[in-house]
Amino acid sequence: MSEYNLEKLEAYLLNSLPTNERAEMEAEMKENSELREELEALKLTRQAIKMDGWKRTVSQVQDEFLSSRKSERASKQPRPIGATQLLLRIAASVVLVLAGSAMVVYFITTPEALAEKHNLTYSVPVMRTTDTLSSIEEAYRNGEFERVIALSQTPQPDQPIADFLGAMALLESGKVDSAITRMLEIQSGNRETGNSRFADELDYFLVKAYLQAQNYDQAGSVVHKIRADSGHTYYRNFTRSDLLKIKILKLKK
Amino acid sequence: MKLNQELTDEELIRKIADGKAMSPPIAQLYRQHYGMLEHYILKNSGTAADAADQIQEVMLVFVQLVSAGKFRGDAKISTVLFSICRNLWITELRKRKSTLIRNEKYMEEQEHITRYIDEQLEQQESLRVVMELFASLGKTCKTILSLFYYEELSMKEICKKLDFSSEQVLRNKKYKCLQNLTGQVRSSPAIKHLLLKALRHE
Repeated sequence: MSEYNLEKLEAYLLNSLPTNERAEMEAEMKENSELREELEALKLTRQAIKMDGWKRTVSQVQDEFLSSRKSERASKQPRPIGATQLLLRIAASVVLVLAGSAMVVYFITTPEALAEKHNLTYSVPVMRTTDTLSSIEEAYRNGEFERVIALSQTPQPDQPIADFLGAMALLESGKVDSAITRMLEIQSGNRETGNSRFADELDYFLVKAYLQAQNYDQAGSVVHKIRADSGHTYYRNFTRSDLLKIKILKLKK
Repeated sequence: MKLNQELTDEELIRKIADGKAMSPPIAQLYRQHYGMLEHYILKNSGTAADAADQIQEVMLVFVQLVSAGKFRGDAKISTVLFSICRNLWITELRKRKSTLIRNEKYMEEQEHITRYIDEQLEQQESLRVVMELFASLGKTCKTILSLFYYEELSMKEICKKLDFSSEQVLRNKKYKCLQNLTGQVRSSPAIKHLLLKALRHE
């Protein structure tokens, strides 16, 4: 061990020794290899202590950098979809498709389109056993609706068929409101007498008349009545889709 | 006033040489150069974990070069970091017995590596041994020496921070710690040759 203590050697390294002491030490270092070795060991030790600190700092910065890079990459990758999320997505797609379909139905539903679908015309049945038709039936069959209307207002041998054909003639002549009034009167009379003749036909043609008159509430109500009775003659003529379309027309009105 | 703006190479070197608030400039080195260095390791038989280990070492060597005034910006930082990285990685591959023929090729083809990097890397081995000796010191000794030589706190500040009864008591303690460490360094066969080599170069 040299006579120099560590503090003096450090002062030499830091260049803070007085000039004469520095010169003295340098002179001795030329002769004393142990002193040189000691000084070198001190330099190395000081560097290693600093390096230990830098290593800690670098390590901490690296951990932070890698961690933030990992988070960034994770946020850029599409996350795996869970079962619930998948179901929700499917549900959302279905809702979207339904909404789209509803929009299409909404826009293509028009009074004309619905009337076109329900454009049946009453025809006088021809019975093979019957050789002759009444005059009102003959007129209706020939499309002489004004004559039918006139005849229906006079007493006829078969008054119920005369009333019904009168109502049909009004409908075919475009006198929709009068046709509705006449059909409602026939229905009312039937209820009083317990007569059910033409009951199903009256329901169907009332719907047709209400649609033409754009009275969608009443049209819907009669369609509900028809659909509630599977034995109704016109049960198969109306679907749920028709009810939906009637509601859409009501909304559009 | 600069906000969220990256420092230039010159500014980075100045900040690192200053030795205070080292984290921000080192973080910038990571942001700007980690990808390039990692790519090199991955392309040359390394894994992502190898890259992380090597790059930490690269940064440490770079900080030392700057701190010792051996690198003052006479080349681009990216060039110096890449040279350190390649040198370290070739050495690492050489150490691994599974070294492939193509790794030998790298060694043959390696470009001229600046002399100061070579010297620093050579010294790095000895420093690593001293760091191990430092790590084996008692907790108080390590704290005092680190606060004094790395944090560059004054004896007064350390005295207050570590609750010593007086500066003289602290001074004596620090002296003993340093003496103990340098004694171990001088008697370490692993670094004896470096000390002698350093003396021969003087």
